[in-house]
Amino acid sequence: MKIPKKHELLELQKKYRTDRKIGEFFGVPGRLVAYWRSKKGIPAFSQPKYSRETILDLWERYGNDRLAGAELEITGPAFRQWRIKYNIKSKPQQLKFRQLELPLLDIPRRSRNSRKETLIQKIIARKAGLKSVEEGDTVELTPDLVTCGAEITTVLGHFKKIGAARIWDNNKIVAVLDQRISPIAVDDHVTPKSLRDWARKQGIGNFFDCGSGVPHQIVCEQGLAKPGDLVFGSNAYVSSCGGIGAVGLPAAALELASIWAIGRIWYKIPPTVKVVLTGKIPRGLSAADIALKLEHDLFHHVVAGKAIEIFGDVVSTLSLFSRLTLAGPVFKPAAAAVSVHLDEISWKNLRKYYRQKLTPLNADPDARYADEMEINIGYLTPLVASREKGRESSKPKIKAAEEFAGRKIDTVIIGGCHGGSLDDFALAAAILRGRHISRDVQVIIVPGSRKTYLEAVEKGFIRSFIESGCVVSSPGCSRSEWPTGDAERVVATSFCGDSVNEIYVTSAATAAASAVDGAVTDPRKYLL
Amino acid sequence: MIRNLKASVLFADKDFSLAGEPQDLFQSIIRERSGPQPPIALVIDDYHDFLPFALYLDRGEAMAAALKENNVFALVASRIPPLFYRILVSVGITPVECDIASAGLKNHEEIELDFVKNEIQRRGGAIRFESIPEPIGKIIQSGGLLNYTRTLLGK
Repeated sequence: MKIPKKHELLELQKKYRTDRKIGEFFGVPGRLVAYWRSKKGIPAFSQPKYSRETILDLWERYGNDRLAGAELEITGPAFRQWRIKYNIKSKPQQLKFRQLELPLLDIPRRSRNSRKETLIQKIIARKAGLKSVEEGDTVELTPDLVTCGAEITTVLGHFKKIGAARIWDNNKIVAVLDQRISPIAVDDHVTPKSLRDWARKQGIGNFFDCGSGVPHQIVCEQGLAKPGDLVFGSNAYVSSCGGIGAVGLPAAALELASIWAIGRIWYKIPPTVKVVLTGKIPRGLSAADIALKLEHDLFHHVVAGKAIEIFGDVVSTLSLFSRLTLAGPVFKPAAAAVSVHLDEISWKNLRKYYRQKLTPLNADPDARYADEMEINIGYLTPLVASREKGRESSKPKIKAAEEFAGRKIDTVIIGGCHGGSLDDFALAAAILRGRHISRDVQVIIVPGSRKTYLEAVEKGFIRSFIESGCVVSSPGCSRSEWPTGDAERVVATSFCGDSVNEIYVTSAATAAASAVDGAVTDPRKYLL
Repeated sequence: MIRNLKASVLFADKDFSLAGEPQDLFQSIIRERSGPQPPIALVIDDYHDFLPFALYLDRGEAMAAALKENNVFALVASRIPPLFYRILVSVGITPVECDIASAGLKNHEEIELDFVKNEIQRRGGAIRFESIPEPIGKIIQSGGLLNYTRTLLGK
């Protein structure tokens, strides 16, 4: 066996910490690892019992040695010693918001030791009226919200076949005409007018006409979907609701029609994979690049229908829109559910979206996961997911943008179901401002919602887009903007097109940089 | 409880490529038919065959509808991706998960699906399969979610 080099040992020590665990990695006893260390002058791994972050966090929360010490089950003077060790002296001027882990509604709180549920299990249990659920259980539940995009015509067709006169709860239905629909006729001879009339007759208050945006963005930014909610949706993008600490589950049209009629649906609790993101987002990259990385690394879990819960310090710093991007699918495969951990810092950023007082839920600290993995995003480079024409159903190839660099493109679509938020537009505008798009490329901008559109106008992003030669479309899904004639090479931030085109799905920054160059481009050269 | 079902095994192998459009499968199954057919138990022995339609709602729905129209009453596989499992249940096709490799099923073999014992009964033995949970059984027994919902509404 080859003896590891010093830097390799140091890397492994960072990851596994103890000699025994490093030994297990190599299949050798721990004492042999200790010997290697001593030869290379590497001291044994040691770390204080309480980290500086833990002590600082408790101090900022309580501002009192006795109370903070009680959290760690140590005395006040002992906590003070730790503070002095880390040079934390000044008393916090304002106490920090406390982590909220209180259950909602009527689920009785169990003793701390017995709580081992993932967030997704907790939410499902509440909606099924049960105290707890386990992986593999099949339950019947009632969702908090049912969203429907362009698929509404199919859902409505099934609903009519069922023969139900009224929708079970019209306050829980969100209908969004997210594609530009011809006023003459669409599928099943349903026109926007007939849909409007139907929604009025059924008393659906949350009916959003053409030009309002895409369902998942509307329900999250307008506070219709809340942390702890269970949302069923007509397409895979509903999983974006996981960004606000809710659970979004895609459902077939027939299932949605059944929910509209009786308000219930069955669900089998999937295994959950815990993903911890480490490192900081490199400059020039965005949540879309992380989402692509997740899609690459978790593809087999997604196919197997596993739920995914995302943790890590980096998620605390993300805005609402970046969190939605992280939880949403890029290439539209429908995972069972994705949830992004909602810690107190995230909640501070998100609470402004809700009028009512809410207590977000979180997974138990000792929740049981089917699999756990750590992904270091610190070394990430801009990514591109590509799919050849006519191979819509195959697994996308996800590679670094530089590997596709120089590949000529015909159309760029920024926005729609994915990449149409203010964060994305800010990045794209930073690249396009003062530049002109390539004369060989058509660029279409599709805001994800009307709110985003207006804010982008106020911030001057739309002016930058127009001045650089882009076409700005109405808010909604980008499907109607995709080329349908000759096969083209399309760079887009979401995959809503046909298999006739060769598709490259990227972040908004990569799409904007590619629009300028007329070929797939790493955006960092314009941002750094 | 789902009623027991006699069916004819049909393997979805290279001849029944599932990688294309649902209509392709539709056509290939029709081509294989000769004379009156009993209900079909379609066997998918390669998990990768599911990929084209297991990840996308619209394609999954189209595929399930094509299977239903072609007299497929049960889909037998070692593992069925959950999204497609849901869609199968919605249209009333029974998802049967069992160890395909050791089952040794043969094309056009006559079998009986026994939902009391959770076994595939065949000449020379039986193969156990995963039991169907009660809420799912009710939907399949009704012939799919459409009929099930109608029943609940008293239609």
